[in-house]
Amino acid sequence: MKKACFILLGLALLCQSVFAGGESEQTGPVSRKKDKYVVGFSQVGSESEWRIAMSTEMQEAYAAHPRFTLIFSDAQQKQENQIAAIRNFIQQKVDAIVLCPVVATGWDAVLSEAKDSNSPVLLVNRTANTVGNDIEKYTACFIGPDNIYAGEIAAQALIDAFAKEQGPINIVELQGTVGASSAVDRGTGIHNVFGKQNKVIIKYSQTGDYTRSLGKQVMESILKSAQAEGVKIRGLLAHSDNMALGASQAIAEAGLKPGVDIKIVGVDGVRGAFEAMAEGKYTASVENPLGFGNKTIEIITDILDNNKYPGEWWVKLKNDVYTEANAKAALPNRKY
Amino acid sequence: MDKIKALLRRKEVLSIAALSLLLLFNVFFTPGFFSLELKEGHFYGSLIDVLKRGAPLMFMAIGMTFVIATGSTDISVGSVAAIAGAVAAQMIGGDFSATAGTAASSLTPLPLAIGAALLTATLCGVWNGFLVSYLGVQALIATLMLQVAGRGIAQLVTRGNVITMYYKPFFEFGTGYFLGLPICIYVVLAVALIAYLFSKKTSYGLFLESSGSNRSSTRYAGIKVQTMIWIAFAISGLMAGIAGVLIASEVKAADANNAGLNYELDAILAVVLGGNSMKGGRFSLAGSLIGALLVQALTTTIYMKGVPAQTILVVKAVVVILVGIIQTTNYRKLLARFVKKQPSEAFEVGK
Amino acid sequence: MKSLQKRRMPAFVYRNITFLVAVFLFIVFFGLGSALFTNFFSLQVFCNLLIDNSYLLIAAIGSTMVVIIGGIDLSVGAVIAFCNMALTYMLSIMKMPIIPAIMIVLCIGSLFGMLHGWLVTFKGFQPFIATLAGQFIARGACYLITVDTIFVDNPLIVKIAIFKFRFFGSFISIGAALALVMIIVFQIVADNTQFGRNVYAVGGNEQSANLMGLPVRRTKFLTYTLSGFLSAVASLAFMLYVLSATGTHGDGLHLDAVASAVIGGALTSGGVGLIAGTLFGVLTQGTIRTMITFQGTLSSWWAKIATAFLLLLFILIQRAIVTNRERSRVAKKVEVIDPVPAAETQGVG
Repeated sequence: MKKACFILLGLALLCQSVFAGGESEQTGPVSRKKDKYVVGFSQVGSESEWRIAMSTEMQEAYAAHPRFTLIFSDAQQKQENQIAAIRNFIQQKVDAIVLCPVVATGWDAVLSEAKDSNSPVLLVNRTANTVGNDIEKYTACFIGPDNIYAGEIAAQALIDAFAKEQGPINIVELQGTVGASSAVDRGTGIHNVFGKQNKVIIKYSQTGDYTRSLGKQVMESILKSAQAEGVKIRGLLAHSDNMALGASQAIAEAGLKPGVDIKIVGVDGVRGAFEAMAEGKYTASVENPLGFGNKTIEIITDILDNNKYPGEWWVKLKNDVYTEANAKAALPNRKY
Repeated sequence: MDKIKALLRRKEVLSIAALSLLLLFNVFFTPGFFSLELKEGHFYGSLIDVLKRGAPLMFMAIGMTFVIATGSTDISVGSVAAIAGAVAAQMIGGDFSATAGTAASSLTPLPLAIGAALLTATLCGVWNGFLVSYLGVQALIATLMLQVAGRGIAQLVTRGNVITMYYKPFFEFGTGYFLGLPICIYVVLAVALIAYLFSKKTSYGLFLESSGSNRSSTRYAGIKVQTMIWIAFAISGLMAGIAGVLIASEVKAADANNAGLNYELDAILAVVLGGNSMKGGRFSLAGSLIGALLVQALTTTIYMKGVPAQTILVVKAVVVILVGIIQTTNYRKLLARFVKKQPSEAFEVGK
Repeated sequence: MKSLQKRRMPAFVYRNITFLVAVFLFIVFFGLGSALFTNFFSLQVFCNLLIDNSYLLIAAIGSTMVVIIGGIDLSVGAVIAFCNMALTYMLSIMKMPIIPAIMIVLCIGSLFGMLHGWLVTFKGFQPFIATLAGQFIARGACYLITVDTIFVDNPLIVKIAIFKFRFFGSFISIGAALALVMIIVFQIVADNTQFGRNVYAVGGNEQSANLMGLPVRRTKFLTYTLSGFLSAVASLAFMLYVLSATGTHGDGLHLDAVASAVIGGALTSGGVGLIAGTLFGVLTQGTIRTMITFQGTLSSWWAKIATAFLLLLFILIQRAIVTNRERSRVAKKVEVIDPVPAAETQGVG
């Protein structure tokens, strides 16, 4: 029985190696200019509206550029899948790789393979690092926002909402998925700002896992605990809009007025937040910028056509803040 | 005395005991758990939350009970719930009018939308049943395929968006109250009652238990085992659909990615905690419902105590193990050891 | 034996038909991919299947054995994540030497296996529930170590992770090589040791096995322990693969493992399964994923639907070919009355 297995396996391997080509290409000429470029994009998944918007935007941008073809791979939020996808891209001999890494570490092996294959790797939206702290050697650039900064301006927006009031003011922090770099960074930013003043205090802090329903469920429980302990909650700072939107339902069901009794600030800038702001049920939202499609096309063209790398490794994208004041006007322009 | 003994031997005893223990724990250690007030004409408190939050799980547990009674499992219920929610949301529409903040009407009449959602879910269950009973695909694999594809289908229906709904009448199901209690609870009780009557007053229940206990003898007795299994999966699909519509109504949105995520494990847990055996056979719907309440009460308690979310898993595991050990310990055997000599264990095969 | 069956085929083919169908279909799927996509038909793509699924292969061995014995192990992914987390923590943060750290992790995995084995064998738990509890404990324990992502900074480990065995112009990783070795070892164990035979016998019909005097409880207990041990070994390959540790690793892996076993010919009712078959189960799933990536234009949701569809296709074709054989097995193994040919208690085909 086992003999048969080995024979079969050996035969299969032999057949493949006879018919297949080798991988012995060394670094080619310096200019890799071609008529058409194929770009492989490994996306985290489709776990939130913002993420889906990011994917859609990428696909639309590439579709509009006839010179570029995008190979899209969704990793369903697993790092293992992303590593396998990049290997496939290398095997498919793509011209460039765009990666939005689900976690920050563990890419060493596959990035070194990519380097060997001479395809530039661009990091988008989330950053990564290598063991030797030399991520810049393996990737061309990182295009993305500063989540620490996003956390800081979100925190500031909430504090500003209480500018006319006396402390102490208790608020709730709804965190993103435990361990996600965006949650960690936004949390850092938030605590940076909160640490500098003591009027507004974070009384409760829990994870809402970036989902609407968990945001609602957790907020419900917190409101009840607060009530039992005699604490009055005046504000909510959520790492993402959809958690805040879920939580605002819990607030409404508790008989309070979201946006009025409890001021709400979130991050992402999804349409739901704008609609709520237009109604006065939401205080502010920090935009999580998009635009990766055109940006990556621009940079890849530079690299492959002209061998020109972007000056700074970190291509920073700006976060805009939207509040009740300017939300209504901006609403028609929000695509997602 | 005999009557009490008979009562104690019922399947549901353990889960009721566990739930009571948990509630007792909360009386002492969780302030505010039992506080009930009247807000806006309805009861408001953690107990109400447990009921409301546990409702989707209770629906799924009902459906899962039927499937497990045949000795199979259905891990696609979460994805089917997502599909149902997506269908309902797509048909109701996320129309937003900035002035009213609510939609004036839904794209299709509400009963039609909900009906379509439930029909889709039931068809999913029928598909599973077809694979398992007629094509003989193993239940785990058959439902695994729908679990994977299901979320994809749900996302297809919503075109990848999270559809936020503003149509008030739809929310009544998930967030409305009647006589002070959440409407969804009444629906759960109604559905549970129908399921109970269906299983006890028709021959289906009997045949189902029989198919689970001993498939070949049931077949030899002339009962079409395949139809029994197929119906069980269809029911599971329908229940998942109701749960999905409820979830969408409660969150006022259809989130194809996250709706019903990991519910299948909790549903199976609820059924087993309720005293049902995964090998199939006799089942208790009441047990499953109590099991679902137990799981939900556990979750709510943990959130209220501010314990980090990741600890929920460990606590759940410990509870499951404890309840399981108590359930499977054969007390009579234990007692017999003290009374008379231990009979030979030659025929004792892993319980 | 041949006279009982209506078909005339060599005994070897008859006994292992599900496995052979799996191999055949794998070749068909791979061929389909090669026909549809450029650069698909190459040794490296095949090697990538081994590299990218090395940890799954090892873990699936354990899952196969558990399935053969009539149970299921849902804890696989979580135990891998926890062992990986513990190992990474010990190496990077506690700076322990490599060998002792690996030893500890192997013990941890085995302990989980023993917990499951104890619950199932001596406490009469249903395997689904026992291993589900194990999954929750392992997952929770992961987060208890740390909620952040930590990475491996031990230079020797990184060297091992990047190392490539080169041959015929392609390469595989050390993790993949480890997986192949484990598969060969355990296929030998399954075929040639008393323990292997016991596993099939107990899985086939527990009562008969007991009456024959086989150590039923010991076999079940050992099988679950082995599955835990193999999950720990898989975590070594996993660490080499991702060089980091986070609480969400390995999510859903248990389903991939069981699916691989079933594709390879195992039956969840027990008594049937082949470790070599699981290899092809893993390869097939990997091929499907590779095909989806090469296709490159599917949106997230279409990718999920396509994956499930291809899997469905595979299962249906397999069942169509094997239908007659399976019919007699669908009825549970409770009957002692049904004639069960002696060869089948060995669990072949």
